[in-house]
This record gives sequence, structure tokens and C-alpha cells, in this order.
Amino acid sequence: MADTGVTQLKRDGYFSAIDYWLLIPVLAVTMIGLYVLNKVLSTGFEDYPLNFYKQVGAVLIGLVLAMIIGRLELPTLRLIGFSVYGMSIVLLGLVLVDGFSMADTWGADSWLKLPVVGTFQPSELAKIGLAMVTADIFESINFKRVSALTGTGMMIATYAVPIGLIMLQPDFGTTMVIVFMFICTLFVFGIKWRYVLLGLSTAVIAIPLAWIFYFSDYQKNRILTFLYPGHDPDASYNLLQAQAAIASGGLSGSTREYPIHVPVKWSDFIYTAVSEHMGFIGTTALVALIFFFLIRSLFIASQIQPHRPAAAYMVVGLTSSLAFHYIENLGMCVGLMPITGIPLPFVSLGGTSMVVNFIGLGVMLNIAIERNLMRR
Amino acid sequence: MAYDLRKDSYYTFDHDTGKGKIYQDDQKGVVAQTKRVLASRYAVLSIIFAIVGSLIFYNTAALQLNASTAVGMIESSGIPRQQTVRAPRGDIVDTNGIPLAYSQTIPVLYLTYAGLEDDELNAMLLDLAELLNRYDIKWTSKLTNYLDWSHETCSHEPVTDISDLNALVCGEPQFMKDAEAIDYWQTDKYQLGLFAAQAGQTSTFKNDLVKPTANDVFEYLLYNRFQIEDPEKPRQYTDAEAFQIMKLRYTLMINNWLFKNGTPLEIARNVDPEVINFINEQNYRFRGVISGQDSTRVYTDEAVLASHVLGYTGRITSSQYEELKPLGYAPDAMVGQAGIEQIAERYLAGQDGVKPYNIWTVAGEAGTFFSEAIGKDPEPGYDVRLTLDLSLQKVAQTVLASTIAEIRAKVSKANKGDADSGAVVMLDVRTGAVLAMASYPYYNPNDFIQQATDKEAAKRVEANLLDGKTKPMLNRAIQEIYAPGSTFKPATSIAALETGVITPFSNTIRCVGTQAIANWTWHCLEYPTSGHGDLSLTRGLATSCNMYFYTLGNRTGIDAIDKYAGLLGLGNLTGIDLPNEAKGYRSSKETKTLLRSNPADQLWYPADTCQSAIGQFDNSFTVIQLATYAASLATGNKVTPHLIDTISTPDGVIIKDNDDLIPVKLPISAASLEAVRAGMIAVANDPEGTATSAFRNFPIKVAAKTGTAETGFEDFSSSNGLFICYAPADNPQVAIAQIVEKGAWGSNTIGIAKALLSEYFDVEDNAVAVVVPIDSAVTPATTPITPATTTAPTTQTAPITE
Repeated sequence: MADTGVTQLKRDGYFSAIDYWLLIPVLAVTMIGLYVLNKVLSTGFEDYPLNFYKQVGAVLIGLVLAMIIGRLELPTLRLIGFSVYGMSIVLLGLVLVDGFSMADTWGADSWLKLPVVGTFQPSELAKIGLAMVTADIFESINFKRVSALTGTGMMIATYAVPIGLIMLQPDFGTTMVIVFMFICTLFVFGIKWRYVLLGLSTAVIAIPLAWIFYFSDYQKNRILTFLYPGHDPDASYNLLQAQAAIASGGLSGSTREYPIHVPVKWSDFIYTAVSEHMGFIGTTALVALIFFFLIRSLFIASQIQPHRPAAAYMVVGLTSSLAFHYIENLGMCVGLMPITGIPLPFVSLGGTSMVVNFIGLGVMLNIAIERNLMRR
Repeated sequence: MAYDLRKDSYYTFDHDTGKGKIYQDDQKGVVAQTKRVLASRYAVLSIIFAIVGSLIFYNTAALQLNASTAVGMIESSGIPRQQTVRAPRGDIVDTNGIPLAYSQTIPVLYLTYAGLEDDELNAMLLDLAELLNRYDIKWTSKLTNYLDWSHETCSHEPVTDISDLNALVCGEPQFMKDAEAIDYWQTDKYQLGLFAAQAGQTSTFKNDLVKPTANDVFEYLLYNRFQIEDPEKPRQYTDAEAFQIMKLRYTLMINNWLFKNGTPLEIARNVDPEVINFINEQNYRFRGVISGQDSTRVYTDEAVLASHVLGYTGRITSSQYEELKPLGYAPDAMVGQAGIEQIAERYLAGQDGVKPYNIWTVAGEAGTFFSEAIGKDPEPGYDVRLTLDLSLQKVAQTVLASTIAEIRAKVSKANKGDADSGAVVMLDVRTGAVLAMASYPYYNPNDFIQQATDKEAAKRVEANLLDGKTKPMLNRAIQEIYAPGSTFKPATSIAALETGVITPFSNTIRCVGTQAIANWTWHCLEYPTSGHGDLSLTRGLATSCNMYFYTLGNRTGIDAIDKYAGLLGLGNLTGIDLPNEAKGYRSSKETKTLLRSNPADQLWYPADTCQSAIGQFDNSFTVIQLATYAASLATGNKVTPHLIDTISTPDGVIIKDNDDLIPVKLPISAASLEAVRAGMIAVANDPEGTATSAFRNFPIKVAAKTGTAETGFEDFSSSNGLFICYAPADNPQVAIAQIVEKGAWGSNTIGIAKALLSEYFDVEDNAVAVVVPIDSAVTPATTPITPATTTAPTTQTAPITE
């Protein structure tokens, strides 16, 4: 019998098995992020350069964690998945308790204050936990370990708790990420094309109909405001500014003396800063790296699928979660998507978010190593 | 060769499910692999991702690479509005660089006109008020000075959580001022501007007639003036919400003209950066709300002890504005109103900047964001370094206060225990640098800064300004004049020596107790019957015998005394760099004519000379003059006392240095000065000296002169206690002059000087024993026992000093 997992890793060397096609694009994206963030933070932030150092620290911690997770065996990984899921449920509950007095009309209060860690959003963890736990359930259904009905029940139960807690905050952005994650996983799981078409056509027909006939203007406004906090039907100021900032970048960065004002440039609108400081060259590199990374991880998932469907679903879940962030964030900066407060993974300012994203990357690396070892 | 993981994998692989069959080990090669990938759902998803990525790439590139888009977007027209950014005032530091006054930048929220009216405006204002309340940000409206909600009928305890609107506003509206003030408020055209009801007219919320009750005013504002509610429709806001709106609307109303013309109105200061960020991000929601900075003056806790030196800043007055307008001052500028703040105003004040501000307005005005980086940055003011030594200043102010308290406590026949004020100045005799300058009572300059927002501070300011008895705002060191009493005797001595009436070697005068001099009968205060006997100049100064100086003054003549007192700086402006320095008066024939209107009173009598020689009559000087006088006696030079050491730009370039204030040599012979110095040394060292007991065992040799000046109100109050000194006697470094009003005896005050000298010379034992049972230095103003042959100058009390 061939050596397995860690045994083989010990023999061949961990670093020879790492999937550099996956790791290097992410590191490059992180580097671009740090470069731009340094520029943005250095103008007008009181705690600069401390906040930048914190970000660099988060990247390093995240990288180490990703490397450690990458070395684990799949059963351990599964255990981690369940732990992360459980932990996220507890923390999501805590947000409601802790933030009870703050939950109000001022928008989602999804932040938790923890000692040492600082402020962070448990919903970040919930995405990873869900991706890992549901992958298991999908596989069980796949292998008929459980009946389709039981599996569906399990699936609903698994999703209901965190989604319920997140909706209580309420954080619609994260809910949409999770729904997207579920749809993508369901799609690769092999839901029949006719169901896909049915679902799509129902949505295409029902939503405009409801929009036109069912909802009043007032309700539409309320829904839009709920979906996108800060929504204003005739307000496009942020978008105008974001587009102006992107345009000012030109081929290789803005030559303007002063940057164009864009709200939350260090987080939600950091893509505009990338354009301002690096221009067409920078944004092209960033977009290419990001989508190469996403497609590469889907490719890895496709190859591991016949051996370990759960691992594949895990990768798909994690990838689609990241993809949603990237598409929504980049899309809103160029006017393709409505404006919501969603950060750019591996780029935006935010230490815990960076670490959590690297944990997700660690899981993907682990599975990629597994796939690479199989190819030998 | 791939290996089979299935056996030891956690997951068991089931061949029958079919999914695994796609993967076949023997299918190698690019073509086969591509086919497999394309057939899978993964490939579909990948293709979707790739398409989205391309779209993002295309959209980004279209913006970046299309020059016209870029230019057009950035240069499109916007709303040209600007606000003034107040320049931070320069710092004031003590001689060692310890800050006394500095500027603090505080975040401020402003409301600007963004085209919102009525319902939209009301909704936005409520949104804003709730946001501010939620973050516990204090914001005020002048409306609550007149109209507020009574809590008398409330069932709950007074609330502290201001975010709970309904708890905050309960009960019913009531007027907060008396009927007259409310009537004025209602009819004043700059406020509510209502009309008095004529006969037959009834006031309702629909008309503009004066409202009888607070509830009527509330309804008028609610339904009519601000149109918060439509009386025909059900209410959309609770009373509490409506009142929040009302308060903000009121602020806009009374500044309507400014507001409509684009002047940002301040709503709240010291606003949490978190709230400012929130508002900036949601600028389409809080239309017209902008954040800005204001710079406010802060005086350190210790600087309060130097309040008279520092002064304070306040809103520019109309006369100041007329004067400063050409220099670019705003009509609401804060300018120095006293002390160094006033005298160094042009240096401390920076140049205000002008910055564009950005608001999200209603449709049609949307435009480019103006970067805050464009516009004119405010230029900070210059920094002023004082000669003041904070450690000495602390001693001066605290010991002055404690000494006054001590004097009040030991009531005796001559001390009515009514000492309540005083001043002390300490100079460096070599340069004229003021090391300490204290005046009691003093005030807290921070109160003047905070009075706009802090009601307690406003009360204290009012109390200080209205206190006509102790006048805390008065800098007694330079703005008040006092009869010098016996501290004047060294000046008389110099005049006598310089005119040759006495010489340093032949200066004995006999005190016989009671004697007629210049047609007036005088009495020695200590020994009215036996007298001191033969007194040399030294002993005369040491015992401060009045008889000696009556005789000496009479022989010298008033003109010479006037001349030499003037040379020594008495009765002349010292030129100190503080505003409103008093000049005082020197006794002379001219002064007597000047100060009296009745020609009969203007005649000069020889007895007047005697009075003047002991520092009474018209003589009245400032404490700073006495300090420079002591310095001149110590060095023979005239110094210009000054508080400003250097003025430097924020980059540290010194643009003004007072080191060039060089002392001027006085035309007084060294021998005369030496003779007087010997007397002043005897005052503090000779067994007979009036200050000897206080300076016993003091390691530094001090030269001094006590003085007790009658004020002419001895029936009601105690005499003023004065003291001048310099030290060390043989190599003078510092001079001190001080007064305690109604301090009864000059020697009572010595503790202040001793504490200062101890601090300056670092003398360990700071405990000052001011136990002088009898003070021979008292100089009666006019207490003739028997009228002499000529007309008695009975009106001659010290006319200036009170």
C-alpha cells in the first residue's frame, strides 16, 4: 500500500507538494493590496503606520496558519470544519447578546469585540464553517449514505441556524454570500439542468412581476434600503466618485496631486485606490490574478471530485464565497453591481478578515496538496 | 502513478454512485483532460467566472484608457462652496518650555443649506438628532433657553440616557424664563417675531400672534412655523421627536440669512470621529451635514496660576473687528482679550484657511467632490516663550493666596482681618525678565473659552466680571496703583544723597519723638515720647523711622525727590509687554495741581513734602514699578521689565527676541547707591531691621524694605502691606515687589518673598516664620496731634489708592 497523506509528505517534502499555482496568485494579490493600502493609509490616518503594520502582521499570521492547515490530514480537517462551524454559531449568538443595545436602524451590527483578537465578524467564520460542514452532507447524499430526504433535512438544519442568526443582525450581504455558495455547490453537486433552468426562469419571471405589481414604491424603497444599507434611489455619488477615481488612474497610476475622495477607500472601495496608484497595469494584474486563482481552485476541485467529493465541495464552497466577494466588490466599483459594504478579500484593510481568509486558503491548499500527491 | 486513498480515507468511495467514474487513470494528455474538464459543471462555473472577470476588466479599462472619460469625470462642475478653517493659535510656554496655553483641534459638525425644505428637512434633522443622541454627543439649541419640557408630571426618575427620546421629553412644554423675557422673545423680530394680539383677535397656532402658553408656542412651531406636522393629518412624529426637530429648526431659523447664503452653522462640537465617518459615508442621507474643525484654546491646570499674565481669548468685539478686519480677521474670530494673549495677538493668531466643502444636494447639483487637499490651509500662529518660570509662578500665586488667608486669620488692633487681595512681581535684575507675576484673586481663563457651552463656566465668568469689590479680572501687578509707604524711603534717601543734603559719611539726624517740622507737629510711631535718638541713614532705613525721613525730605525738597523717584522708575510706565499698564502718580507740585480742581487745594505746603518723603500723599505706583525700582537700587541700572522671551514660528525660527532690551545706567552715583543698599541690607539683617526676624537664618543675604501704607480708610479697613527686596545683597540676581491690600503690616507679607527666594535659590527649609510683633515701618498718612500754625492739609489722605 502506498504511503498516505502526511507520511508521504514527510518523505517528499511539504514544499514540493504545495500548489504554487494557487498560492502565488493569492500572495501577489496580497502584495498589491499591501502596497496600495500603505499609500492610502499614509495620507490622513492618525494611527498610521501602526494600522499598516497590523495588516502586515495579519498577513504573516494568516500565511503561517494556512501553511499549518495545509499539512493536516483530511479527517483532522473535517474536525476543524465542525469546530469552525460550531464556534461561528456560538459567536454569532454572542453578537446578538453583546450587540443587543446596538442593534438598530443604523445598519448591520455584525461586529464582535473579543479580547486579544479585537473586533471581528463571526459571519466570516460562518462562511468557512458552512462550506466545510455542508460539503460533508453533500457527499453523504452523493454516496447514498443518507437518503435524499434525510440529507435535505440535514442540509436545511445546517444552513438554518447560522443564516437565522445572521438575518437577526441583520446582515443581508453575508446571507447572499451563503446563498451564492449553496447554489454553486448545488450546481457542481450535479443538480439536473432542468432544475437549474426552472429556478432561473422562475426568478427571472417572478422578481420583476413582484417588483411591478406587488410592491409599492414605498416598499421597494424599503427593500432596497434593506438590501443595500444606505441605498438612495437618486444617489450615485459614491459610484461617481469611485469611477472618477478609477478613471484617474490611467495607464499606470494617477498623476493628480491629490487623490479623489472615495468613501471607505481602505476597504470597500480599495479597488479604486489600486487604479489610482497603479493604473490599468495594476488593476489588470489584480483582476487576472484573482480570476486565475478562482478558476484554478475550481480546476483542483474538479480533479479531486472523483476521489473525495466532500473535498471538492469544500473547495467549491470556499471558492464561490470568495468569488461572490470579488465579483460584488469589483463589480460595484465599476458600476456592474449595486453598492454594498463588502470588502475585497486579501486586499482590504482588516486583520481578522485577512486571517480568516487565509484559513480558508489553507483548507484549499490542503486539498490541492492532496490532489498533487495523487498525481505523482 | 496515483495511489488509492480509499481504504484509509475517512470517506468511503462508492463506485456505484457514478460520480467518480468521470475520472479515469488511463485518460492522460491535454486533449482528454480538456474534454473532461469541459464536460463538467466545474468548467461551466469557471467559464462564468471568466466572463465576469472579463467584464470587470473591460469596464475598468474603459474608464482608465478613455482619456475623455477621465477628464470629463474629474473636471465636471460641482458646487463651489467653502468654509473657513480656523488657524490654531500659537502656544504660550514658560521659560523652560512648559506649555501654559495651547490650541486643541476639535471636530465640529456643521449644517449647511442643501436645498432641503420642510418634510425632507425635518426627517433629516430627526435622523441627525437621533444619531447624535445615540452617541451621547451634546448638542444644544437656544430654543431650550425659552421653551422646554417640564418633568414635573413625569412618573420616572430623571433620565441620564439621552438616547431614549421619549424619556427625555415628557410632561408638557413650559417657558423657561419669566413672562417679560418670554414676551420679548416672542415679539423680537430676530427671534420669533410674533405680534401682540389686538382687541378681538384670538391667538391660535394658525396666526402670528403672541401665544399665551408654552403649549401654544409648541403647537405654533409644530404646525405653522416649521410645518413639522400637518394639522389635517394624523401625527407622524411623537412630541419627543418633534421637539428634537424643533430645536434644530430653531437654530436654522435664527441664523436663516447666513444659512441660506451657504454659511455652515455649528450644531455640535467634540463629535466622535466614528460619527463623523458615518455621516461622511452617508452624506446623501445627512444632506448638508458636514464636518469641520475648530481650534480652541486650552490653558493647562497650572496656567490658571498665571491667568493675569496669560489673559484669555474671546469673541472679537465690534471695535476690535473694525481694527483687525484689514488683517483678515473673521467677524466671529477669537482674539486675545487680556494679558499676553492680547499683547501678542498678531503673533499668536495664525492665518485662517479656506477649504471647499462637499455636500450631497438635491438633483441637478450633483457634481465633483472637491478634495479637502485643495484650498488654502490655515497657517498656525507663532509660539510665545515667556520669561516666566512656572515653578516660581506657582509659588508666587499659591503663597500669595495663602499669605492673604493667614493675614486674615490673625486679627489684631491694626489688622481688621480684611486682607483680600494682593500682587507680587519677581524680576531678574540683570535683564528685567519677569520671573513671576501673580495677582490675587485670580480667575480661570478656561472659563472664558468654555462659557459658550458650559453654563457653570459662564456663571463664574459673570461673577468675576461683576465682582466690583475684589475685581478678580484686574492684574494688580500692573493695573492698580498703590501708595508705596515706607518702600519709598530709599528713593527719598537717593534724592537727599545726590543733592548733597546728606553724604554717605555724614547723615545723622536725631529723632526726639515729637517734633515740629515744616510747620507741622509730627510723632515718631514707635517712640513718640523718647524718640530713636541719633539715627544714621542706615539705621533710619532699618528702623524706618518716619521722623528721620520727615526731616530728610523737608531738607531735600519735593522737586529733587520727584526727580530721583522718577529716575528710579516710579510713576513712569515701565513699558512691560502687557496691556493697560497704569502709570501712577509721583507727589509733586504739578501732580497736586493736576489731581485737585479747587485752586485752594492746589497750593503746595512744606508738610506735603514730609508726607511725600515717606511714600504717602499723592505717591501711588504699580507693583511692577516697585519691582523695577528695587532692581534699579540693586544694580544702578534701569531695566525694562518684560514677559515675552522669544517669539518663534511653528518651525522654531525665532523672529523676536527680547534679549536686546539692554539695561540703561542711571545717573546716580555709586556711593549714594551703596549708602542706601547698606540701609536696605540692615532692614533684613540688623537687629533693629523691620524684616530681620523673618530672614533670620536665611542662607541668602537679602536687602529689603518693608512698607505699610495708609489708605485713608483706616476707620473701616486695614492699611496696605508692601515689601520690596533684592537678593543676594552683594551680587543681586532677583528683585521682588509685593503688596497685600489691607494686609495691615508690610512685614506680614514677607512670607511671599521668602518663599520665592527659597524656590529661586533652592533653599531647603521653605517654612517661613513671619512673626513680627511690632512693625515700626508703619507710616501714618495724616494723623496730626496738634494743628500747626499753617492750614492743616486735612484732606491729604492717599487720594488714589483705595
